[in-house]
Amino acid sequence: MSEGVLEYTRKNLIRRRRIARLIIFGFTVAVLVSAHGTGFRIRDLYRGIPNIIQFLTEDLLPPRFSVWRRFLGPTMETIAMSYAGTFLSVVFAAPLGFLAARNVSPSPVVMQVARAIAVFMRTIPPIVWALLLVSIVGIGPFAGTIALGLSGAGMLIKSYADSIEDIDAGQIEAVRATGAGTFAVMMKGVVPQFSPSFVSWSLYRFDLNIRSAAVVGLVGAGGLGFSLSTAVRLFRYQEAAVAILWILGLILAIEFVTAKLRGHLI
Amino acid sequence: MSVQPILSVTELKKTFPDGTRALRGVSLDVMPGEFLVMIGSSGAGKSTFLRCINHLFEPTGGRIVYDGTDISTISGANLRRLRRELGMIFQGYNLVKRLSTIENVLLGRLGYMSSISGALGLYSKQDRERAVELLIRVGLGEQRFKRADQLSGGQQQRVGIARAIAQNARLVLADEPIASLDPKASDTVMSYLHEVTREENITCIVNLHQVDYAKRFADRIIGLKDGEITFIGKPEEVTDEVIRDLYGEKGDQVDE
Ligand SMILES: Nc1ncnc2c1ncn2[C@@H]1O[C@H](COP(=O)(O)OP(=O)(O)OP(=O)(O)O)[C@@H](O)[C@H]1O
Ligand SMILES: [Mg+2]
Repeated sequence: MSEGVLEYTRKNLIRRRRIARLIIFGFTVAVLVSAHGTGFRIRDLYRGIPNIIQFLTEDLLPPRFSVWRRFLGPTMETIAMSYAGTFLSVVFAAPLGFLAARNVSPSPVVMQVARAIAVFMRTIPPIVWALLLVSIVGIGPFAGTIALGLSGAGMLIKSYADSIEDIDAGQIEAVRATGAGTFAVMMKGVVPQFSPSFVSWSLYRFDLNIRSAAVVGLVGAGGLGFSLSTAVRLFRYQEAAVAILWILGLILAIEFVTAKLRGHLI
Repeated sequence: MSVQPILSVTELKKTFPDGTRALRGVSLDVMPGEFLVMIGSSGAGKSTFLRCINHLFEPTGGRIVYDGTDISTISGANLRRLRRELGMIFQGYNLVKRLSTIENVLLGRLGYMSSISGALGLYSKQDRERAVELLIRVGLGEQRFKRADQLSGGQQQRVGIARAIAQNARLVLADEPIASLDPKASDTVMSYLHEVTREENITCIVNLHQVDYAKRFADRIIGLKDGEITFIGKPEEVTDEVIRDLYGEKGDQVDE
């Protein structure tokens, strides 16, 4: 009996080791192949170190703090873009979130359509939306705002729907059983339960938009990102350094504010 | 001159999509003002029966006549109008937890308001005053601005009763209203439910696990077993044999 167990576990152990070796081998091959494919050379990286140090110490640093005022406007623009983008996403996603939630959706078909819209908008990254929109509406924060709004809406539809699906069905049923109309059931049975996650997800989206705003700015969609890319393109690296500091500070500040707000609102 | 039953159920059947035959042909007349208690072991079909009456479940066979109208296949606006006359009380209370106690009572008025004004919570002045009165009546006048989830279980169920009465319900369906409560709170809740519905002349069907409460409050007791009525009678007719038949030999479902 104990012989059998010993033998069985030994074989098991050997099998697991073999699988582990196979996986490690697979990873190694994958790394080498992709390194080759991207022209990655350790030697180049190593040789580049002096360049990197030189770039950091002579070109980028010290930041030219004297120009800090120049980024005040773009910072405001980034905040405005993120805020307006979030607003767009919320307005768009709130009704679709309800339609996409299994437990309150009027029909399975409507639910699938709403979910498909969400997936479509979410799979396209903000920067791709921005590139498209810059070529449609031109360079500037307007394109950025729409880009943030569209990509954010995709995420929010899904997050809202998932949160709505998690709420207590009994409370909805009780309101329905009073003879309330559908809209009243939504507002009195669903919304009170959903509102904490609604606030939470929307604020989180605002957080994310501040980051994304910097990225979409790089392709000309306004804000700090645009100032950063302009500075880099003109080889004004010490000014770019100030822009980067602004972006960092802004992200931290907004995160602090939304955390406080979340605490108060929920 | 004979009195019409307020609810007349004939051969009611409910088979769930998974094939479970929860009701196998239940027939029952409920007279106006009656306080009816339905007992039976877990899975007998008690909840299913109540939920078929207000169409939280769709019956799959049989006839339901409420106040002279066939409501077997009622839907849409007619169903809404029916539901406002049927108050429902749940085992889990099902108050909207993040709303205030008073608003939970006011939810009972939604069936009488347009969906929009209900959604916006535009309750009339009379409705608000009545809601306060009802809360005072179930001993919760002081608690009315508390959030519903800050109340104890027994208090929440009393709000549940007030909500049903606020509907001006003519028939109250109570699905194990005291199953989650301790004996003291159970006593209070059952007493309020009995008292208030007696005073307002509201007919009441209550599902209970506890046979002793059934005997204490019921005008008539219905025994349900495997989706069929096996006993109808006065409380004093509920013998040990009846209980054994309903709950099996051990009587392990009986919380005496
Ligand atoms: N939604 C559903 N889908 C499938 N089967 C169900 C559903 N709801 C109830 N049933 C089944 O129907 C039967 C009757 O259930 P019901 O809830 O009416 O019993 P009950 O008498 O209320 O029991 P309890 O005392 O435990 O509440 C059970 O076998 C149950 O599993
Ligand atoms: Mg039940």
